[in-house]
Amino acid sequence: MKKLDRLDWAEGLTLSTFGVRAGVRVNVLGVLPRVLPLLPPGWKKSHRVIVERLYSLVVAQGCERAGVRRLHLLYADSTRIARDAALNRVLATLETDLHRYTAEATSDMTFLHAGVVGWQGSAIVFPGPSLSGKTTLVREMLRLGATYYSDEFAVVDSSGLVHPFARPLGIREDSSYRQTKYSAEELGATSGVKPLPMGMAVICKYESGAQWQPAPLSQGQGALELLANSVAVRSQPDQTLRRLQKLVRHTIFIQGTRGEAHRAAASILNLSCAHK
Amino acid sequence: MKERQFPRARLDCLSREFGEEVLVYDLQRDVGHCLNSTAAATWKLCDGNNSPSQITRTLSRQLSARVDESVVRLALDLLANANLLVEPKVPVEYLSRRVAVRRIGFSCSDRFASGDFHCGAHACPGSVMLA
Repeated sequence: MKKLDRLDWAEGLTLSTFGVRAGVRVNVLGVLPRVLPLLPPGWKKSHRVIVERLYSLVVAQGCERAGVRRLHLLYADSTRIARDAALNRVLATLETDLHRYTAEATSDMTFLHAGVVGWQGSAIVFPGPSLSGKTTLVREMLRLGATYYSDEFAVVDSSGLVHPFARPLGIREDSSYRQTKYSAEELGATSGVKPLPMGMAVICKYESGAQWQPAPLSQGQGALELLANSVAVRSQPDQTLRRLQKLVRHTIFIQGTRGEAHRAAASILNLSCAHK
Repeated sequence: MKERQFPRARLDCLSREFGEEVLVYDLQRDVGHCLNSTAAATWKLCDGNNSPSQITRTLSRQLSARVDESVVRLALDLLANANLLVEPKVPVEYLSRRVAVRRIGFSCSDRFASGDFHCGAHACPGSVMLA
């Protein structure tokens, strides 16, 4: 860390998000504005000097020469977490790591891997890990008039309400893993602001050509699925279980295999209306 | 099935009630389990003092219905497979080196021959391995 500290740092900032304080510093002027849109939604500038995690972005300078590759480096505290010739990829690592760290370290909120939309005053939650099709389903819901809350995390407070984590949706345009970012507004939808109670949780997986025929799931089995997708269950097991208990009080759980997202999305919204 | 005379629930697991079910989180193995009402009631009665037949009688009283002991034994089996019970202490048996080597040899050859040799953790039905 001392070696890193000795480098010339051009600019930096301290941010506070969900009670977690982190710092970002860069060695080249003008790079920090590219970092700002990647910070967790709702972050605030902090004036404190001491942070829980410090990101150091070393941007390669100077012109390329034959036989010499200039690589950008990213450190989280003293651990190097990215080393790449493309700055975009290094910035993507910064975003992923900072969001994951926030989700693990905060005790203000409990983070679950899930997509979330708001619909008629309650939240519909789709728990699932990365690459399980959360964003595709959320995008279809937005097309049908739902409010955007998150495509990555359901953020649950101590009273069991779901808060927005409305980062831009990372949409995979083709079969590659590369994502293009779109805000909810760019997709013609609105982002939620108010915390909502969870009305429905949908446990589904994608299978090409599958018919969407959801079956009800018991509260305990549903809570077990949520537990499997909670980020900090190892470090905060008691708090996670307590909040899950409050979260699922008035929730109906359904489970099934879906084919194309637009059919499942319409059916889920209808089911949610019928439940009310 | 192992004979469990006085089964005892593990105390180092976290549990919370969700309706009639109980969610149990195994801190050591990082695994969650969902117990239905019968399994949950059985698990709560596993205090190390109750035998399966005593558990059956208490359950029948609690549920105001006749509970068969085979149901309780099945629940105990499932709880044991999910590692939610304290393993019974098996008295140490001192063997001669010759007998020990012979037993270990048989045991290994049996396992490999049947192709039933597993390493690592496995999930029980109704449980989810947490990442």
